[in-house]
Amino acid sequence: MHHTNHFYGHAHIFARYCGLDRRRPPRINGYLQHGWNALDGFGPREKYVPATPKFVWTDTMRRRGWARGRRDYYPIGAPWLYLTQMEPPAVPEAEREGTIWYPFHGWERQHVNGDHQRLIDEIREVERGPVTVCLYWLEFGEPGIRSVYEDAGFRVISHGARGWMKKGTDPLFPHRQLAELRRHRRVASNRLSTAVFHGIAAGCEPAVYGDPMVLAEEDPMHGGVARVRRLWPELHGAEVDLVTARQIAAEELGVRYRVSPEEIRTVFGWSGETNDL
Amino acid sequence: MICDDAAARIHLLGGEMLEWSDDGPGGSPGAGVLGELLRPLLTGGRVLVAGPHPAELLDAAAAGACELSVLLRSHSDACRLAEHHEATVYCGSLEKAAFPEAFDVVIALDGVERLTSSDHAAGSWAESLGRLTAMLAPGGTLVLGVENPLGVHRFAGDPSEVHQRPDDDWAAVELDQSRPVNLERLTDLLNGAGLTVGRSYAAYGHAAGPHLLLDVLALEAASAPTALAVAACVGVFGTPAAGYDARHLGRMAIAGGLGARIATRWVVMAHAAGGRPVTSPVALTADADAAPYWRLSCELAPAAQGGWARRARGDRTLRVSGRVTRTPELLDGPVPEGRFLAEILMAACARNDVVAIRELLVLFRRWLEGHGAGGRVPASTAFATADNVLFDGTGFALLDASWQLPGELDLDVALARILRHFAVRLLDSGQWHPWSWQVGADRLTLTLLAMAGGTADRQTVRRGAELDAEIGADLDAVLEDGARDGAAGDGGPRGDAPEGHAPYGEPQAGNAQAGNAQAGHAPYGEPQAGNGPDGKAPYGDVRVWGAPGEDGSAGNAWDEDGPRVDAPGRAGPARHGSAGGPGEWRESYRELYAARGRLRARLEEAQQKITMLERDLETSEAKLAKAVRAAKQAQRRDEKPRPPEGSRLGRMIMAPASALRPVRRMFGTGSNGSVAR
Repeated sequence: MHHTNHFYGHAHIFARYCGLDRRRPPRINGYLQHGWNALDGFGPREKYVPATPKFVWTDTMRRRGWARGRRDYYPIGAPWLYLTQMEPPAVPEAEREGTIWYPFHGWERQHVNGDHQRLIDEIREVERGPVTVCLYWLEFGEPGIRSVYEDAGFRVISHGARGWMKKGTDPLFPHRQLAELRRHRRVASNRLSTAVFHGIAAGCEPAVYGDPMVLAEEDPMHGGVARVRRLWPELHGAEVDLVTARQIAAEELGVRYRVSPEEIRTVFGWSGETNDL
Repeated sequence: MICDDAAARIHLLGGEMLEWSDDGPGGSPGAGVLGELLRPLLTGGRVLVAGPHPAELLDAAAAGACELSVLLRSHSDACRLAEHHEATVYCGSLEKAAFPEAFDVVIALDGVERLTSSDHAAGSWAESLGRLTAMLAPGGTLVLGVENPLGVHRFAGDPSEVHQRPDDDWAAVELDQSRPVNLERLTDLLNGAGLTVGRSYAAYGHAAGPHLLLDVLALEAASAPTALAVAACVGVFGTPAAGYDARHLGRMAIAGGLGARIATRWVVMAHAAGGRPVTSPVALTADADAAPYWRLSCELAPAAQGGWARRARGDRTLRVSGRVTRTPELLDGPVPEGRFLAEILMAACARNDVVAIRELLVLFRRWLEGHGAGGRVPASTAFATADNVLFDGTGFALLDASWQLPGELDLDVALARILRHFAVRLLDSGQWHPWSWQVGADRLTLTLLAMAGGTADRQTVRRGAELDAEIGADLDAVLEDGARDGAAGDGGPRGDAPEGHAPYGEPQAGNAQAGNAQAGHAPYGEPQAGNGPDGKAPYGDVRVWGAPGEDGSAGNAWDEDGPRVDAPGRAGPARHGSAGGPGEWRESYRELYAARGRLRARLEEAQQKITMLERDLETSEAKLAKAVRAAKQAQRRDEKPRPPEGSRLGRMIMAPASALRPVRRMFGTGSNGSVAR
């Protein structure tokens, strides 16, 4: 199985959904989309084995990828939707408070250039309640960055490591994220990103504002922040219409593309039959 | 790379496709006759061109003092357009399109399918049309092109597409029930959107664009001009049999009264409430693939005595390049009908029917002979190529008589040129033929000449080939000029490839285009010209040429008595030199032509020198190699064979025992017995 299938414990979510051992998900016969982007859900220059399904969140991913010459898409909706379905809310709506803020993060091989202090000022200006800042584990591990936010009086957390080459994967990552999101009334970020959509699906009011920061050597194939802003202007701003936001999030996470555990088992090659074919 | 300035002038709407282009062969509908159709509309006002369109059309719109806006989904196409055109360019998906003001004219000849980007799930065809019509100002005009899903081109399509769908085929259009499958349904949809449909055209054309537009109402009065329609749809030489033979299908459909039903596209002019219909011609045709310089568009109208008549339109000045001339007036007159000589020959070739080939060629040669006397014919006869001659079962007729060469020729040289032209295309098509697979164009020309009963010797074939090359060079000489005008052929440069040089195995579209690009067309006004307009209004049933004075001076020529066919063979720069206007221009052109000749001579000279020098170089290199070999041999002879030190087994034996221990252990034959453990 491709190692990115393990990111954020996605494979584990599906294993649980299919009634299998959630700690040891079997090999998935294909590639799982592990995050949201305005492309086909995968890296623009990755290479994939032909005739191996790419399990994406929505049909939009298929169309975009198709136009780029890629094939073999199979929309199943985001793993997040399956998790939220399996984990009923524990915190009553009334007790939600404050904002969980996700500063745009880089990843193991791409770093973000931006002014954290300016961002903090912007957050202070907008947010009324308590603010929790969630950092990517790389940034969380850097005391320099962490203390900037802590000094501003924010609570600083990280959901854990997503892992790399199946090492260091924290299968509880999405559970922690879900628990945190359900404690907050608002979710915000300086870029429209996976976390914002996850937040909307977990019942938060979204906001996208502040310096979007620059990703080092960002791939132009993504079209950058501006392209995303043109496609979803409704989700940008300190206050966003909640009904519209929920519609867009349902579409982007692929609520209508969710499939049954039986189908997951067959298409992932988990039923045992496909191996004989 | 795209310049930043151009990129900055583009309005990004959202959903713009970054790694994408809708340009290219088979991409936008070629300019064809569309420019002529749009001309009366592009006189001013706010114009939106939605979707990919050929650059020529945008030039025309910009030249017509319009406030031009363009909507494209591809970012790279938009950048390219912004670089070359003074237009407001909007880039993005139709779903995101919002304009500050409505438009007086909306042109969407490519249809609505390619307005939605992959970022959006396309709505139904009707929804997309609704978005488009919503952009019209009160009284505005929509010019919409719609592909006919039952068009003749669909039957000749490449079936491999079904198994390997192209990258732009992400949406299942075949499931969209709102997509119009006939003109009536299209009219209903437009009416439903509050538009009144003006003229509707059946458009015939292959990849390079519609080259024939026929008013659907006129088609009810007269059957479509079959030969023109077939040539426009698939090219005379057809395509290798991927699907059904579209030429045959097209002919059957037209004969069965289904002319408008099998058109490749429909083009509809629709008006929003309060608008006035724009006068547009009943029918238009243009050369499928002639280089822009040579291209002529004609108006067509049903003739009183049945069939269709034609009249050149627009710029009616003489075209000259080298010895080849083209006289637009010679196109005026009835359009002959019948089957193309090439079609009949290829059908016979496919069945090894050499008897039919021979009979037809003998008849054809006799017909050519009738144009001259004593074995000499007017040089223009060389343009009576197999894709320009029609046979109606009794006699031959020229489809396009506007091409001319001055002087006279040996009949068989002219015939050799014509047959070579055919031979090249037959071989290029990859179609079955009765001769050896080893046969080349010249050998096949020789065979065909012999079958026609002419002088069949190498000398004649060579002279025919030379004539062919000269005509090809003259036709090509203006290619660069055309390209510089920004009016480069819509089918791409391949279509204008020098005749007879098209590499074998090239895609069939290229061949078909090459075929027509070269379609030399002879000027003698042949019998059918006699049926031409003779004083009486020949097209009484439909008012073709529009309101009197609509095209001024040209109209007068039309009303003159008698056929406007010039004496064969006397055409040429000399006769037309006194015609006024372009005289000086032609002088300078001739100078350039002479200069080109001189340069070519120098180039040949230089190439000869290069060849000689290369030969010298090869000789001296061979000498050198020989000398080196000899020297080495001598050296080897001199050296006495002397074994090097420690040679043969020496080295192994000399190796220390410790080094050999692992090896011994491996083979289990250690002499020291240590392996026993």
